[in-house]
Amino acid sequence: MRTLAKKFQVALVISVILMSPILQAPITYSAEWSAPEKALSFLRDVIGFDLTRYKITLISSAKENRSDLAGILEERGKYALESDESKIEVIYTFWNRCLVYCNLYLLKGSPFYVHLQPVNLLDAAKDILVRYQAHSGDLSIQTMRGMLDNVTEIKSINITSYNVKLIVSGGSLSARFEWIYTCNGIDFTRKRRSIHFENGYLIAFSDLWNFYRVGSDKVNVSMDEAVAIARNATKEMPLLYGKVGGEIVSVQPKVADSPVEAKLMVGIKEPLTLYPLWHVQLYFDRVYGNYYGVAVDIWADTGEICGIYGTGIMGYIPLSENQQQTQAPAQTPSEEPPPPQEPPPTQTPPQEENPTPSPPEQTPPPTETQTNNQTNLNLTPFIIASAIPITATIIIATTLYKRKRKH
Amino acid sequence: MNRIIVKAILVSLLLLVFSMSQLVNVKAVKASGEAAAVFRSTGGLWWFEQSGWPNEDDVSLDVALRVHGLFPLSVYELCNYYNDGMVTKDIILTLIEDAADFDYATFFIFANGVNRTFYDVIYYVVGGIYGYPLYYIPVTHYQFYDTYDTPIIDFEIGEITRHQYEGSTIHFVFLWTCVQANEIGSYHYSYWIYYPYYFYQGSGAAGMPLAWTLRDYTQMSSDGYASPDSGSYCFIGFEGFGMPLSENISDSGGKNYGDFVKQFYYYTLREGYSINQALDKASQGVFEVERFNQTTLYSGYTRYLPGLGWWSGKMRVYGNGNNYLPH
Repeated sequence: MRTLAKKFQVALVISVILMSPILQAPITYSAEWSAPEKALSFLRDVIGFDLTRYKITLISSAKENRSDLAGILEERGKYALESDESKIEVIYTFWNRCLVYCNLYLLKGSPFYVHLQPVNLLDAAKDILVRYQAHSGDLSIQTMRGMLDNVTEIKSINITSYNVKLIVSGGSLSARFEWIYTCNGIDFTRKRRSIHFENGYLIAFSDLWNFYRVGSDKVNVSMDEAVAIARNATKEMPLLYGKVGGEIVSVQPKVADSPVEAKLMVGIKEPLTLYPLWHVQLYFDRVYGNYYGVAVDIWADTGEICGIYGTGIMGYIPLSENQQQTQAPAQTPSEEPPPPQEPPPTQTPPQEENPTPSPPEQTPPPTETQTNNQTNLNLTPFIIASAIPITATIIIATTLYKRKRKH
Repeated sequence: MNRIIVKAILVSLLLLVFSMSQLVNVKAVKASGEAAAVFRSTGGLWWFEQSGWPNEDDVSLDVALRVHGLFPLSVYELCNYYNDGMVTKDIILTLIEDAADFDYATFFIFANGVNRTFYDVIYYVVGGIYGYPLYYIPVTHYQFYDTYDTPIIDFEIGEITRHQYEGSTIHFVFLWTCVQANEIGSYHYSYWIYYPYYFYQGSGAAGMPLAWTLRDYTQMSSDGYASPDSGSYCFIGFEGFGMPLSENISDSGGKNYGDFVKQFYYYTLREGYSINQALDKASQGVFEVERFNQTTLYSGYTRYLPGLGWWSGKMRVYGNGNNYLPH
């Protein structure tokens, strides 16, 4: 019986020993996962930086549960990679432990790489994608690699394969490769992967492919129906209040029959879920305060109104027609200036618009650049302050000398 | 005799102490530390009746409060917030003047603004004294409004900053205001033209970036985001018309331009990002793009204004976007 008990104890100990690595595995993973370290491994394994040649400083790191993204855990941070010849700052963002953004800022020199980098940005993008697939283990990257293999030179080009659209833009020095989800002629641009080079160097990488999902790709509401829904929703416009000269005034905006614009885009109905959306822009009969119209967003799959809001501009547009005529052209940013002409000597612009009505100074002021950098040090107190003790000392010394001579 | 000498020495010492105090005062003009000011002017502000629509009044208040709250008080010796009735021309100009007392000052201003034509004047001088105006040369100037619709004009700001003998201490300005970044600008000073009988009277600082930073178009990068210069100044504003903070960004899931401003200041002040990096991060957060230059704020937009035609606008970053705000 005792032997049996001993055997049982030994078996139990052996079992515990054998089980321990299995039990520890998730705990070890949980304790060891670190966004800053994962970011460094991405820089080394995917981008190909030779991190041994840099002094690496983690400048900041933060964690946040994104309420706008269904509570996703966002971990972000900033690294500085420094050496005598090169300085790069890196800003990374992880969502639920997956890298979604990595922006690189080359501040000095050129980056140090482990391997020789291809001169052609197309080859550089292909290499990054191969390494990224190995790093992430995501099989969906294979399709994107295949699409990129069909590209022979960098120029503006779109290639669609099933639900993936590859958009290439740029040239030999700067280029952008973007894979976006497309369906029923709608581009769901938030669901994407992208690689972006500038001046020959990688400046941005993103992978939002697995986070955004398509809630619907059906457009059951036509453009005309969307416009009709928008018009119906804005039949009764609310009063618009404005502050003019410290006083509050109100106006009743009126929606004009034309023009009208409708655009099919993609909206976010629930966090991280994409739906087709009609954006209908209606215009007022004139500008009211800062507002020129009202926009109505309508879900294209159901016809349900997503939102109504006024559309306006900052600036200062006078309310009255007279003021509009006199002041608006001066504010128009796109207004062409009148052709240069020598004003006649008799020309007299409004006196109040001359900002310097006082008579001109009679001494020639310094030139523009000199004045910009000059130090307008006021020396008067210094001169007065120095003169008083010097004068006093001279007077005292003279008095003493005279008295001594008398004696 | 000795008594007289002692008295003389004492008087001299007193005079020296007095004179030193004058010298100390001269130097005390330049103090140290950081200062920040946030203004929300409601002049020309419009909002819809309680309709449930996004409201410029509410959103601009929320943005201004949030931005002010992000400035760490442990860093900013002076961190003032002015809202609505408190936003007067006098206060704004006084604070610009007071900025000279600090090493670093920064302003965020929400207001309405326009450009306006003033004139440089050529005077005919009679007998070596002031004569009569002969020619008027139009110069575009820029102004934004306080809550009482009083304009604050670029040359008025320039007249204050140009007397800061070590250069402007206002290193970062973010004007969420129409047209104030149409150009960097240049000074239009008074000077004699070569002819002995004429006098040229300039209209002062023409251009808001110049007026605040004392850097003209030859000294500041015209794209501080894509090609930053190496200076210590940065100015962000709008060329053409600016977007209302409350305007919804349709494909963003309910975010607006106010969110962009809040995120920008959060990343600069709380996570130590440079101006450009914070612009990128705010672009990710609001537009879900990698870089600021992929947003319509950077690339520009056009809008049709009934009766006024098509207007365009874009956000401009002048100077050095690689700079950091003290944080």
